[in-house]
Amino acid sequence: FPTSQVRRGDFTEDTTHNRPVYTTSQVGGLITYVLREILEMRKELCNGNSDCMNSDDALSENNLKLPEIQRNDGCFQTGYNQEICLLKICSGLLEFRFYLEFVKNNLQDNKKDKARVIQSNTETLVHIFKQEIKDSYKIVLPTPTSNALLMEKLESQKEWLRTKTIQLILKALEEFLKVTMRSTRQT
Amino acid sequence: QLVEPCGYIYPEFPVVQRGSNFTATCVLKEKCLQVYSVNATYIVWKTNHVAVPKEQVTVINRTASSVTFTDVVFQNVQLTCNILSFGQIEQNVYGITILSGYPPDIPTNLSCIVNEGKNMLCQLDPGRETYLETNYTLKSEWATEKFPDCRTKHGTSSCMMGYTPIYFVNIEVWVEAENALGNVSSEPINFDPVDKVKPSPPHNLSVTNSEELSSILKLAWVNSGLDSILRLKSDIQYRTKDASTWIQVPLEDTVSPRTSFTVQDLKPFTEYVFRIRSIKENGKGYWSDWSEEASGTTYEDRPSKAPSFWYKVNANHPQEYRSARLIWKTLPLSEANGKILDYEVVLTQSKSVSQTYTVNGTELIVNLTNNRYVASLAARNVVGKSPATVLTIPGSHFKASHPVVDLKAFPKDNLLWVEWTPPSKPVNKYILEWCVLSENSPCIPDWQQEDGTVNRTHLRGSLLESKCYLITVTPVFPGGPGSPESMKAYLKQAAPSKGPTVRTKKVGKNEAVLEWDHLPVDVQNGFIRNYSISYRTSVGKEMVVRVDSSHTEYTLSSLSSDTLYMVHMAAYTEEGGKDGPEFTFTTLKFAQGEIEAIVVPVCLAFLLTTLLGVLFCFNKRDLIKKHIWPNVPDPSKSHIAQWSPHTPPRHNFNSKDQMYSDANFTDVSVVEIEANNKKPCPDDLKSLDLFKKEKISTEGHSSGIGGSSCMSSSRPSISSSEENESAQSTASTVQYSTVVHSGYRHQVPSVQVFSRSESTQPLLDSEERPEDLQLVDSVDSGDEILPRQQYFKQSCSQPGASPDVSHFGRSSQVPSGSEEDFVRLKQQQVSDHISEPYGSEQRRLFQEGSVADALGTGTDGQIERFESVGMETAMDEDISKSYLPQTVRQGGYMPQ
Repeated sequence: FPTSQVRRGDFTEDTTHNRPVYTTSQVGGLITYVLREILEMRKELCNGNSDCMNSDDALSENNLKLPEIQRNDGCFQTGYNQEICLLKICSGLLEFRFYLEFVKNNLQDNKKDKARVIQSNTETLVHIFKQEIKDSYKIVLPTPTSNALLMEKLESQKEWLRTKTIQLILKALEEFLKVTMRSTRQT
Repeated sequence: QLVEPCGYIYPEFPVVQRGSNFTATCVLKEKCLQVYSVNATYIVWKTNHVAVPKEQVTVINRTASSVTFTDVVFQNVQLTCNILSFGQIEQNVYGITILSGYPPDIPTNLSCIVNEGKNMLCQLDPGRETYLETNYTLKSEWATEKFPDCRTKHGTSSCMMGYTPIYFVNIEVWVEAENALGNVSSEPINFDPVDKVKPSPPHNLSVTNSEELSSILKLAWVNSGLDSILRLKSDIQYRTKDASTWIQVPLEDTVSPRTSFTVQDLKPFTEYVFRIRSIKENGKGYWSDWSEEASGTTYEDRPSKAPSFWYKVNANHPQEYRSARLIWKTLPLSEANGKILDYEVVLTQSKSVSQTYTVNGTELIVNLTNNRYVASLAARNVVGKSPATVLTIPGSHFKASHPVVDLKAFPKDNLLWVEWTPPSKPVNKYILEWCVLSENSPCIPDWQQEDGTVNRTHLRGSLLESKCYLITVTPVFPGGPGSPESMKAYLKQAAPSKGPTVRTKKVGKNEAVLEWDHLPVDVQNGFIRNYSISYRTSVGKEMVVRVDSSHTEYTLSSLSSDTLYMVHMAAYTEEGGKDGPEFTFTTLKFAQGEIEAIVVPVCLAFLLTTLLGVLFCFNKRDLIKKHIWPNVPDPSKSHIAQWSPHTPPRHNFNSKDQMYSDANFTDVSVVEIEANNKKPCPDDLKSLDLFKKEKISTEGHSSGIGGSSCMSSSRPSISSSEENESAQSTASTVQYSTVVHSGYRHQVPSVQVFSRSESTQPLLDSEERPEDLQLVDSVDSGDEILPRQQYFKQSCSQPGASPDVSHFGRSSQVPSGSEEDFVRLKQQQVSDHISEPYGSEQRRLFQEGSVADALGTGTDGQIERFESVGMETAMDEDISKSYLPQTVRQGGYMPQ
């Protein structure tokens, strides 16, 4: 499973300029765009069937540790802390980067373009938020070794379960981005 | 496991043969039954997100449910197992994809080919589509040894063996097919790979010609490498450069292995294209592909035919010479057999002198005498000379004859065909000439020559559509050309490019004559079939008239007069028509001559009336004169008036006397006499006659105004001793006064003279000039002169008045005097309004007259009343009033 740890010094060059590089509405627009793309993809995976879109999965076990914004991450209205929240958002999005790679690889060829759009826009979001963080060394980066192990496990699943995993990843990203958007409005 | 579902579907990867049944089972995990509070009865099956009907679902036990599909036809379907957690929320458990299809058919038509230099390729026919991934494996083996398998790639039905074929050893090949639903293998085939060989095509093909023989070309080539181990035979094909179909060299000729060949029977000076292929000598195996094409040109030969030959003579030159232009056509390549270097023309004049010209071009202009010439022409190339063609140029006085008959020209298949019936004389050849007829450019003729046996051909040359071609056919006899025959034709007609311009030639009241010019040949674009004239008024609907193409004039009839008409014309060929410009004209208000027809008769009638009037006036000038110039009273009769103041008793007596003598006579006559006594009858002779006649005639007559008046007035001078006596006695006493009062009425010159002699009347002067008298009258009456003049006019125009005429007609013997009298009375009546003093007297007179006239022999009483009235008035009023002033004025004498 992916383990995160705080690293320092990776993004020090970004801290040199503190001026805001985005406006709330711009970031909101970007997130909205990614959310729409995710929704589109989920629709495609369900062949447009609304039952399929809404249905939850009956799982006896779910060991996927998909990033999730918790109450103590400082992103909610109560106990809002911009610095902590931004750190969480950046770390989470960086973690999704890897899952999105899995999604892209396991989609049919005609759907891969959409996955790339989601990937690149998520990257952009990471880039933007990183510039806002004063102590960028605090950003948690996933370790390559754990990623490789995780990928192996993901890929080895049965076909139906791989499809299930993709949907779980997309749902989680959707939820993550929704919270992110709300938190950006706090400033 | 990263993700563990609450159950699985078995089988996990089902492949179902179409048409068969299929059952799937979903088994839930014990652990989840608790968590989600479900059991197998809560399982919902779905295919492609659609719930499966309950009938197909069977609950096996607490954790397992199965679904069954009968007669599966779907190709690819997603089957999911879902649970209703807590009996409500649908949650997905697991899913599978069902594939369906058919097991493979036995492959057929297995065949193999060995392309030179490559491995063996085998093909097969897989049969029915399986809808599943199917593998085809080619297996091959010798009796002793197996070769590696060959698997076809997905979706293809051929497979290249992975080893070099071994010739001259039989090999067995078969194919095995396999998919999820089954596997089959085909019948094996057994063959020697050398019999399946397809050689590489021959290469380095070359073509050479021969100067000796212009009809052959030599081919040489190099065979494929197989030539060293196999014997190959060849197949040669050729064509001329422009042709599209190949000519086959008979296979028997090339059956023996070879690397060269000579093709014969070719046309001289022609480029040919060759190709070649080869096969194993015994014909087993496959033909190689065709070699690259190679071409070569046969050698030249002497021209096979003489060129088309024709001439034109320009007769405009001086008498002794004429300029002849000899023309000929370049030979087509197929007849020239090479490059034509020059032409040889030999002109022979009457068997003796001959002159040779060598010309590079295709025409020769020579001056000829008027004699007959024979020209011969031959074309020459490197190899030799063509046969000569001979053309006789007849003497200038030669008269051509025997034209072709029945010449026809018509378009067909986009060509212009000409057809004719040959003349009776044998023909050497025909010359066809044609040119575009145009008014803008001269006729530049093109021509072609046809053999004497031909009587139908098409014009070779680029002809244009919708141009008028003038085609001339001239037969050429051994002795010279016959007379030409011409014809016009179109390759393709079109609608005219311009319409005719119409104009009016003449416009009448109800018709208009339109005229137009024939269209120039340049815009006709075809033979004009007909014209159509459309005309309309500004409001009316259009009328269309079709007119034959030969006309240039048309009369529109039954038009309305004085109306604006718009007319335009269209010319039609068989391909359509074209409208010309619009022309407007207005019809006339009156037809030509209509005004004259009205005016002239009216004028004539007027003239005639005037003339008649004048004539009448002239005829009756005496009468008129009397009206205009009042008569001078006759002095000779003035003696009657002597007794005017004392007349009444005498008169009465007198008249009564007369009456009695006349027996039946009424008193009327007496009254009249009285009246007339004052106005004595002018014509003594006439009144005498009348008097006599009256005695004989009927009572009606005698009662007539004129008659009686005259009678009475004349009486004294005629008979009646008593009267005479009394008259004379009165005359001697009172003379002048009477002359004045009755004088102007009846003027008779003869009497006048007489009267004057007797008279001592001082008024003579005025009597002689009636105008004066009237003037005096008018003055006396206190009136203007003008009315009087009016009176004259009226008197002139009234002679035909009806009462007068009736009177006239009834008694023709009545003397003019009486009539005049009456007329005058009438006139006086008219003038009543003018001269009142006069009027009273005159009116009375008139009344007396008219009444007498109307009543004729009317009742006595009435007339008697008149008599008495008349007498009184006449005596007392009239005389005293009207005549008295005259006497006073003129003579200064007072009445007695």
